[in-house]
Amino acid sequence: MTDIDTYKFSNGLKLVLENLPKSKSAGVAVGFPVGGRTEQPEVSGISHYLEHMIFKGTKAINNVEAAFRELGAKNNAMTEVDATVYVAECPKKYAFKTLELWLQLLSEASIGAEEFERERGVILSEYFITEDNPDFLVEKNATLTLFKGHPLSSTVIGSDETIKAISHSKMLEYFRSWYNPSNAVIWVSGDLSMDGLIDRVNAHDEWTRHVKGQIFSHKPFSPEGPSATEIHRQIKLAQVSMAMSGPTGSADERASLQILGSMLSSGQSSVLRQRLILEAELTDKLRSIVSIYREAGMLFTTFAIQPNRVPKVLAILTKTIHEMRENTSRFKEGFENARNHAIGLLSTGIDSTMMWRILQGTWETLRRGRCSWDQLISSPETLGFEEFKDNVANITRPERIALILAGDIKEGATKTVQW
Amino acid sequence: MSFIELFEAREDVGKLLESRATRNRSLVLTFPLLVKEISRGVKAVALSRKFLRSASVVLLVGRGSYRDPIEGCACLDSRMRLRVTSRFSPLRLQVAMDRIGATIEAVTDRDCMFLRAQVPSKKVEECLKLLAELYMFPSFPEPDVDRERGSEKLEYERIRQDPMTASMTDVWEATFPQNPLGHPVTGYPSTIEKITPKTLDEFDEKVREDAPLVVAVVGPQEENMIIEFADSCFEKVKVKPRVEKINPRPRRDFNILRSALRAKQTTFTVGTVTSGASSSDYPALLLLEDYLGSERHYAGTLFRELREKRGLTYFAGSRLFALRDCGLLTAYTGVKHEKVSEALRLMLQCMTELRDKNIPEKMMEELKIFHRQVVEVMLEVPFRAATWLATNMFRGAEVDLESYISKIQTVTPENIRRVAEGSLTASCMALSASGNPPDEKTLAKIMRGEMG
Repeated sequence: MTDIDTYKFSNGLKLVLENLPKSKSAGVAVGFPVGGRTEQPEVSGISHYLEHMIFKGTKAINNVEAAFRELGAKNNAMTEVDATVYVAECPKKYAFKTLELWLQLLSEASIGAEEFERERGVILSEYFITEDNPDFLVEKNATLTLFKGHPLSSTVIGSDETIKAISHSKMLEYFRSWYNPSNAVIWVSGDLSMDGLIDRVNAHDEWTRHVKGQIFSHKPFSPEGPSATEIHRQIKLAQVSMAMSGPTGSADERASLQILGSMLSSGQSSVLRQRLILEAELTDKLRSIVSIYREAGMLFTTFAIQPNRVPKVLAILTKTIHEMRENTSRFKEGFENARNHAIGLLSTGIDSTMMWRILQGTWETLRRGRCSWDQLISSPETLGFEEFKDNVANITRPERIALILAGDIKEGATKTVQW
Repeated sequence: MSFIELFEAREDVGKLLESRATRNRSLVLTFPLLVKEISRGVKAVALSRKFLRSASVVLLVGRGSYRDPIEGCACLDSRMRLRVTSRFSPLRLQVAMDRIGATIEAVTDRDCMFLRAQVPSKKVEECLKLLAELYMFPSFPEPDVDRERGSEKLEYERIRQDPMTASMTDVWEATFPQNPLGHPVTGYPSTIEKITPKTLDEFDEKVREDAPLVVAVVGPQEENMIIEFADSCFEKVKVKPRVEKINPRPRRDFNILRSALRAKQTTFTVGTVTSGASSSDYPALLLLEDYLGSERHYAGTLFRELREKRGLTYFAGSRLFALRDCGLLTAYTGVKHEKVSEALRLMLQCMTELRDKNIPEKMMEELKIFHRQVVEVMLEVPFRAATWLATNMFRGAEVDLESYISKIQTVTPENIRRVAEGSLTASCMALSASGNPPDEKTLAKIMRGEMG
């Protein structure tokens, strides 16, 4: 098991060390509360574009990938609706140097005009991937549809038009005003000392000085659904997705959303899976994701099916949600299993890769101010069925549900659904 | 000693290892991991990582789609194992998985099948028992087979409707035409339809008869304890391991497979036949893959030339699929339809460079250090580590980190050039393109023009 220690610099920058005794590898992440929600609609995708530009280097570092390779480090970054996080996994002996590399890249990025233009092609290529793959297509539309009217409503990658509309000057302005060390989180996992890390950060003045930049304010989420999106495409299979929003203020609420995910769709014995297989001859796996943002969480489920079975599938979805809301006690028998499954997902998720581990830790710290794996895992363990039942009645309310359909489906197919 | 030799049919090696195994029962390697021959043809490997909360258990069964009696059979067999056993109904099996919080998947490759589980560390023993159940008591009732046939056909359709997955699947068929290595692991809808419970029963009989089994576990428990668990679960399994040589069958000329798909961009993949993981060329191939741009990093030549310098694509890289006796080296990218020719030319130029001149010594050293470090980090991730250990053991690559790295260290720039010369030829190379690529003639002309 691991200890998590936090140090706060006087400008607000947080440094978190997750101690992994005897680990030979380390992970270093730096995150900012910047993402889809901090963008103006006409430049939707700018946070993700900026994430790409950071990898173009600084005046001193012109080949970023080679710099990481020299440290035996593998890097990546992820832009989300509410956070952008840069991650790297490396041998323990290079953890400090990897941290310094991120600090330099993130404060001194040159973002040259020529490279900025060239990168637009790369971003568009990534955007096309999300358009060509039905699974990605519905996923990027899920937050957009579910959180309609709230800043969390964003595709993150933007659209063809908005990507083309982002100017170099706008990018520079966005970088300067949003990448503010005072709001950032540095997360390190490994067998390392906190003092050593603090010294390294202190050596970079630009990271410890007070900077006045932009920060988004949290806004309560009031669900306004049910909402739906139809994407008509000439493809053989239809991609059906359902997203539900749930409150995430308390540990119990979060645990409820996670257990509901297991009970409804991600567990092998989940209710929806069983019913879709039995009644709609579903043959695809159900892909299910639980995202926990500060103001709300999202339970997203998707699968592919033959287009002629879509009406039947929609009937099963509505019937199941209705039963879950009105008669949760019916599902008491499966509660224990769903709880175990949710705990399994949480604990294997933390260990799944070093990058995923530090990414989750940074997200959690950016969103809640702190992160405790023990607490995350113990919340489902201690949640009683009665609390779960109450929370489920709330999460399954019609206004909390969004439906996203893609494929060769009937025009207006979502309009027939009565949650 | 390479541990694949434990599966070698060669009697002398078999005897040597048998005596070694009898003396020691278990073998502790220089890297803190434990290997044990549980029974004939069944090996277990355990690696302990104290700081983990979870564990990963991988069961590798040494028979894959290359041995399909009907295309798609191995894939359907592995799916069925995860669906039902002769003692557990589908629902009972699903409940058993959820109860221990396990995520279990069945994956089929050309030469083997995997049952892979991730589970909270406290449940490792139960997870091993469950995987033993899936392996030892398969059952193929017609209604369940029919259901899984549907899943497999749908999987096939999913692959076909995305240019990226379509191209990466087609490259096998393009590189190994009229060869059982080439067909998609899922099979085709027409062949999946023909697989009956009887076909699966017969396939399973062969699995029990001669398919080697490897059990790999990575978690926080002591290695000894893990091996004991595995021993108690699999001691009754006995197979006479027989590993037939996989024959890549050389072709005469470049082969091109082009599939039209309504998509925003075209993905294409260049494939070439290489030696396998048991070959002495394997370490050089791994570094060659890293140089071009493996999944281990973003500093490869393809990524730099196609994405960083020209902004042509989001993804460009290389991946080596090394089976035991032969392999497939791929280089792939996805670009706007009208940029396919330009990107293909660039990709082939990056590849021919490896054939025409040595990699600079400095770069070579960097690649070696990087490779070691990446593997060390990977071995701390339970799921990846267990998969790596099981496949390396089965395919004849080293499982002991020090031995593995010492082989990487001996690679010279000349070795890489020689390997490239052997593989980057018309008789080995192929191309698959999915989306709206130029016609076959144009693609062939580019291939010939660049590769000579």
